[in-house]
Amino acid sequence: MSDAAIQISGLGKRYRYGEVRSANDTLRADLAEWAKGLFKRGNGQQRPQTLHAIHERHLDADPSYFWALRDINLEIKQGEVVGIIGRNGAGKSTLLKVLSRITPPTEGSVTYHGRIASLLEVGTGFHRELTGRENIFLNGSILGMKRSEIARKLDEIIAFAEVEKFMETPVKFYSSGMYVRLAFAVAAHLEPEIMVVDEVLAVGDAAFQKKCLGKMQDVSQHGRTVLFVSHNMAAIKTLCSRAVLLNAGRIEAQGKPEEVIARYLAGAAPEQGISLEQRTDRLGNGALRFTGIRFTNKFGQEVGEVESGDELNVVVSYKCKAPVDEKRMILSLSLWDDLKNLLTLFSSDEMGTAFKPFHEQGTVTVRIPQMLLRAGQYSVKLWASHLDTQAESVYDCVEDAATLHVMAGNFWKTGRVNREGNYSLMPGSISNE
Amino acid sequence: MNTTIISAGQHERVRQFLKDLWDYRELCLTFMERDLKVRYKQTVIGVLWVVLQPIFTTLAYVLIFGKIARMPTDGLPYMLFYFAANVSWSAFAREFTGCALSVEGNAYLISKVYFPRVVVPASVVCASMVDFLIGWLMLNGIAMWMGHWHWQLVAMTPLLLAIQCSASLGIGLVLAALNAQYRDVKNAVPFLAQIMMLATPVIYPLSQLPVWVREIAFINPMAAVVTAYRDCLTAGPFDWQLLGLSLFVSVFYLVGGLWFFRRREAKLADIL
Repeated sequence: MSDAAIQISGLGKRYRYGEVRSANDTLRADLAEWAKGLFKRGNGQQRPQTLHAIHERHLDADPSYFWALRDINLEIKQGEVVGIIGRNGAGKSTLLKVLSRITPPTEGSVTYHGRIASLLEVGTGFHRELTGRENIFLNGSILGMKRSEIARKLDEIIAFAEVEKFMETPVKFYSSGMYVRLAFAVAAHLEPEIMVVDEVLAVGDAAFQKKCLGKMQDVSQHGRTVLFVSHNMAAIKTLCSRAVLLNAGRIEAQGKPEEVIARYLAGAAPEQGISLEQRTDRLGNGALRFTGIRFTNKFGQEVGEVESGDELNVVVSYKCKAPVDEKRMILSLSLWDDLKNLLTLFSSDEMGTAFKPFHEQGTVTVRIPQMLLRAGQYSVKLWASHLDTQAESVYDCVEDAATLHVMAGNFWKTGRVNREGNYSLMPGSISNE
Repeated sequence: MNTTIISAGQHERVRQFLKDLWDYRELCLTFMERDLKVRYKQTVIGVLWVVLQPIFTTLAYVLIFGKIARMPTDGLPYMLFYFAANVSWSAFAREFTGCALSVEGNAYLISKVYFPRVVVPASVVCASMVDFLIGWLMLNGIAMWMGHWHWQLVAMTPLLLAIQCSASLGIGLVLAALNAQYRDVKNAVPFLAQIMMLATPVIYPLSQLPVWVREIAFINPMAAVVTAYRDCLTAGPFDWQLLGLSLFVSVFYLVGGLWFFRRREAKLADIL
């Protein structure tokens, strides 16, 4: 047998959009399937393959079905640590779910050697009413540990979680930090041959995160195979020997983490959909119109995402139908969160921008030397108007002109990733006397 | 090292299924422990509930069906007649309703981690055994106190328990798998439990039913179980034919339930 720990071939998973089918429909479909099963058995060899194939083709054409994963071929060697990256909805979690046998594949197969432990969330099965100790046993068994194994490692787990004093307290009285620490401590003491981990490092305080990263490194040095999904590029870089980029359910790139991450950050071009130029949901007289928006990094390369702490340039293209007075002009860009809270505003009037004359078409660049927002999605609003801001003097105003994806980054230059959340970072330091 | 193959559209072999089940036997105990612990957290009288419930139910039956409706009991005191029925019937009802809701109740686990899904309903039946055991000991106590105790009560219990658990798990598995997809089941279950209780000789003796009903009573294995517990106490002869058929039927229910559940097991995470 080869040294492949996991062999994935032609894997695909199809889901259906929206709700479960109407009761009638499924009942009927189920009955049909059942009848088919009887038929199958009766005829021995002669399976109604053709009927099945017709059914499949029909599903492929049906727009209410989509492939969350398709044509995944991947071989993971024993002891390899593979990071899986990709945008939301790229199929990362689905892949982990198929690997950990939570959901069956629609096509293809996976072969693996040894036990798989999957960690798709922190503290799976924790019960609020049970004490810390009881939850260690509960969670450990759910993750596939033997009770004797848990009992043996109990002290180690408790020490790792740093919650010694609260072992007899129901976890509903725990702070969220304690809860997460306890949950991760159990997971960190699993000893499967293969570990599948989904974005669980994003929780907990920085010190604990570091401890977890250390533990993960330990794990991989012991020859264990690890597959993990993360939006935390720094963690992928430090932990993984290989990265796999998923896009729309397919493998887009794989190889050295640095290269794949670069491709991911660069390749993810602005959102598809209609262009800014063709948008009609805008205000203004159109004397100046925004026609495009893109993000670039400090090297001028176009990017789809930015890490907290990095430089970002927003390049906005425009077209002018009528002359605009650049000396009496306000041009602004603002960032908003999902709940329509204004987070920051760059406005040329208060910044004292001295514009050069505006041509028939051109670009305006807003330079943000350091992205001070934490990981999340932000909506960009553009505004251009005459200095006296009466309704008729607005040239153009577009809400949601683009979505800015901010990734957790290495803002503090400490190698620790800052937390996610729609709030801001700010340079600073902490000291004591 | 074990090699596992996950392949599209293929059910795991029965042997693999049994092996998985064996590997996860401790999880069954863990779930059982969790359910038992959680049930009596933040209650004042705690485990005493297990003792009080059958007593109060029985007293209510004795009062209404015994003293008021004057139900015939084939020679047993009302207290024993109803207690014997209550202990087994309520265990059965608790098991199959618990099973039916268990998969949905543990959806958060099923969508996050793999284990043989049968473990969830199976643990419900295991947890119910604790309540049953307490009730059964009380039954023995009351029978001794009233002078109706007979060694047959102890001798017959394993067989009756096997019928009861097979039937409840079998029915519960079908309901649990259906409930994952059609939540109608959840609403129907309490109602179903009530109807089934009326169809089972709990408040009346089997002997009061017309002959043709008694002949098909084996389709509800609990009819035989409840009646047999009473027969133990009257030291009367058992209806072995009914018991044998009921055992057969309950095993049939169990196998059918497992088969049905297993067919849907893989897809549970997607439809829950």
